[in-house]
Amino acid sequence: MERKAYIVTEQSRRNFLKQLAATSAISAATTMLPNVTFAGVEKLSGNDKLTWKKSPCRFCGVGCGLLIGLQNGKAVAVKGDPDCPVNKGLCCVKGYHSVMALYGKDRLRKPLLKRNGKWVEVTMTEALDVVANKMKETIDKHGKDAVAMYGSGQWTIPDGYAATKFMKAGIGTNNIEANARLCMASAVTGFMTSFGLDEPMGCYEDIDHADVFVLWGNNMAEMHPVLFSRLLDQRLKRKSIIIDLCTRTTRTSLSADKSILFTPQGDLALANAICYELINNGWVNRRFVEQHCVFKRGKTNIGYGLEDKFQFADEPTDSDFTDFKNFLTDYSPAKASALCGVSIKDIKYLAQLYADPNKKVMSLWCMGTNQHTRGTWINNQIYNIHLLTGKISTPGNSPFSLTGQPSACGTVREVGTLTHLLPHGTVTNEKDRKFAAEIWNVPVEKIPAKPTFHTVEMFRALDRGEIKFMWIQVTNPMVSMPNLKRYRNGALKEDRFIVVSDVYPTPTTDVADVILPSAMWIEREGMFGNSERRTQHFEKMLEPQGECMSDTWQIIEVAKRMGYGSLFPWTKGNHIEEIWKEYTRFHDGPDHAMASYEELKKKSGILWPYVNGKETKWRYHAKYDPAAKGDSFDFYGKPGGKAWIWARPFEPAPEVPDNDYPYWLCTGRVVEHWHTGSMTRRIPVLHQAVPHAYVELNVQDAANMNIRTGDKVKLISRRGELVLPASVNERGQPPRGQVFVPFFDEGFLINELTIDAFCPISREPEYKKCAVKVMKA
Amino acid sequence: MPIKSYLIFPKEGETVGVIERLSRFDHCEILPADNREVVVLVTDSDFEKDDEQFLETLKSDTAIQHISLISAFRT
Repeated sequence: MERKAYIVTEQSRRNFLKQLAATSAISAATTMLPNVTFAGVEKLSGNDKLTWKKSPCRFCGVGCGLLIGLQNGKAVAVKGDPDCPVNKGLCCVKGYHSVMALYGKDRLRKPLLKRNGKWVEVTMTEALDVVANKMKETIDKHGKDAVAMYGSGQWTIPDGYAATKFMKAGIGTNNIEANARLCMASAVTGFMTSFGLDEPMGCYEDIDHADVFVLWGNNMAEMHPVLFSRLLDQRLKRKSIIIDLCTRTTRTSLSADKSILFTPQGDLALANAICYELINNGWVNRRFVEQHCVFKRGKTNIGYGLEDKFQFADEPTDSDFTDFKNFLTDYSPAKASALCGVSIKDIKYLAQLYADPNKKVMSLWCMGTNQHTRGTWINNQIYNIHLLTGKISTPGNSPFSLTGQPSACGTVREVGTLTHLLPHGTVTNEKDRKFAAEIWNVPVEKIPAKPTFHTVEMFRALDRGEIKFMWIQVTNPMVSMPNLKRYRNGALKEDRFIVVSDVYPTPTTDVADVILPSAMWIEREGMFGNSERRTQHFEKMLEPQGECMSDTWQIIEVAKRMGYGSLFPWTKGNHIEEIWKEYTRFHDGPDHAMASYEELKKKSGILWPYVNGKETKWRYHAKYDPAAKGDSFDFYGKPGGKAWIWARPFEPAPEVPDNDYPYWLCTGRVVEHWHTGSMTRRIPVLHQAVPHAYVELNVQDAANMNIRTGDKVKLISRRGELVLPASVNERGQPPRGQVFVPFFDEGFLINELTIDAFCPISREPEYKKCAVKVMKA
Repeated sequence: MPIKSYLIFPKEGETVGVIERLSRFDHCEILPADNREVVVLVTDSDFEKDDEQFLETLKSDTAIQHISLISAFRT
């Protein structure tokens, strides 16, 4: 299917260009001047007749509040919502241009069915009939575990709830996963193993209190630009310090007070070295540790999941402070420096920052730590530092795991759209299954007690033929899966049937048998949940284009056709409200109570736990958290209210550079594009800003190979090869022996080279490290 | 018929005066920031010549410290 990246609009072209010009200028101003606001934007270009409605941004996990300008049935303008505490009126370049993604010329508006190798337009009724019939036929022939659903952290909360109820309570399979497995699973297992409950204890307000920000492998200036502007603002106002721990020099490095490069995988050693220094200098908050922590060890040499059907279960064993101290003797600054490449002086400097009793410290991280074959471990290790110093669960003292997608937390983690989860608890827990069965009004036996496939294994099962039918919604795995060729070839095998619900053609719709056009974002009602436990409602502001239908309603229509209509006894008019009411029954307690539908409609997001009309900004401390007992800290997710400090060693990456493949390859994003670019590449300003992917090379490495910016460079890994243009000494600068490639461009599928190894605990794949050859093409 | 947008940075304390002078021009829309001394200016000129003249006028305003051209469309 041919794809072009541009948009059209039916409003006056001149007015549109004026609006674009104004929006570009506002974007530029907000980049230069943190927190600048332009509340009078509606007066531009005759836009005083606009109607403004609130919505969270469609793109990243920050969850900025937007005000969408509507005119004549179209979304024509965007401004930051000054009432939203997340962004306080500020947006990034993607947010300001977000509504343009609704109007791409090649927007999918009609269902498509592949007949004899050709796409044929059909009605939505016919397409949904085909999906339901094929799903039934597959179950009849191969069993219920032969069908699967693969969703997204961009699913709205109702989408995810309908999907998990359909699969687990209707069909009776745990074959449901979401792309948040590729971005946030290590954060979840980090939280679960250290605290017993998912999601951050703090909130964005920590930024206004912290004296030090330590960014662990997190290019916030590009990935979370609005939050990063809040950090910069605090530095201007209060002289807060920003430390950038990174494997390549980025825009974040250039804005930080200090940028410290570490070798890939070296973060494991670095975090332990900081703990070593805290203990050996007597900087541990002994009282806090004695009262609120216990020590644990887990299994080591845990593998990388490269084999099909890889199995692993960690076994925590009790430990103590002395054992932990002995464990750390392998991570003295001198020893750790050899593993992580950070100087002894800088290790000591970092430990001092964390230890300083007069400084509140916030650690922030995202994909650098999560997309890591020891992702759970490094999450644990950052918590270790905060627990040893007692700098946690109070304003400004905050280990903060950022999310990448607008509802990775709200939908995937809270609703539980993963194979092992339920909206409350896990499928392996009988009590949780009974609770779910009661709310869903199905026999408890209907919900299988055993998880099936995590994402990588689900696509392997598709390749092997154990899964015959897969329904993919709101995600683009044929760009984003690691070791991509295997999984694309698997999806294309003859007796596989793939349904894709999306808003634009993508490489994933290319492998589909049926394409369902989805109503996008504000063309339907929904909720997202952002990084800081904030649930954000948006109403339906626009009529869906063509035959587009919300993902929630698509699922309900198919469920009805398959005989599960009684699970969804709602109308098109009330189903979002009714889903919210039913779903929040799962979280009816002071540790996770959620705001009512009516309250969510009124406000620009509400933090949970929301108890007696009050948000909980800091969990696990009785002063702020109604679920916490006693008069101070209570980590009530773990037995005895004590958090777990884990001894987690350094172990190497699954694939390290050698003579044959001498360079590290790291992948990631750029500020202008969202994930695989299927929406942002259709926004002209963003597309023109970064029209294609490239490979960043170190200046010296490039000089040695006589490579200059724009030259063609060939990258070869053990899984694939790719030729793409060079970028030397431009936006990002890798150290010697490393290259970086953004993954937004379907024209340069870098994931054909990446490795499908994963963290054995979280099952989240490694996207930041594999070995490649580099040569001038 | 060019459409352009600029960021105008007036000298300290001169924002109100700059806005007042800009608002006298036709084919020009201004959007002052609420909380900083910066103004977004969008121009919509009928002819290239008008656009050039307007830019010269801007440059000659001594109360403006800095002008950044952000985007330009030739329609």
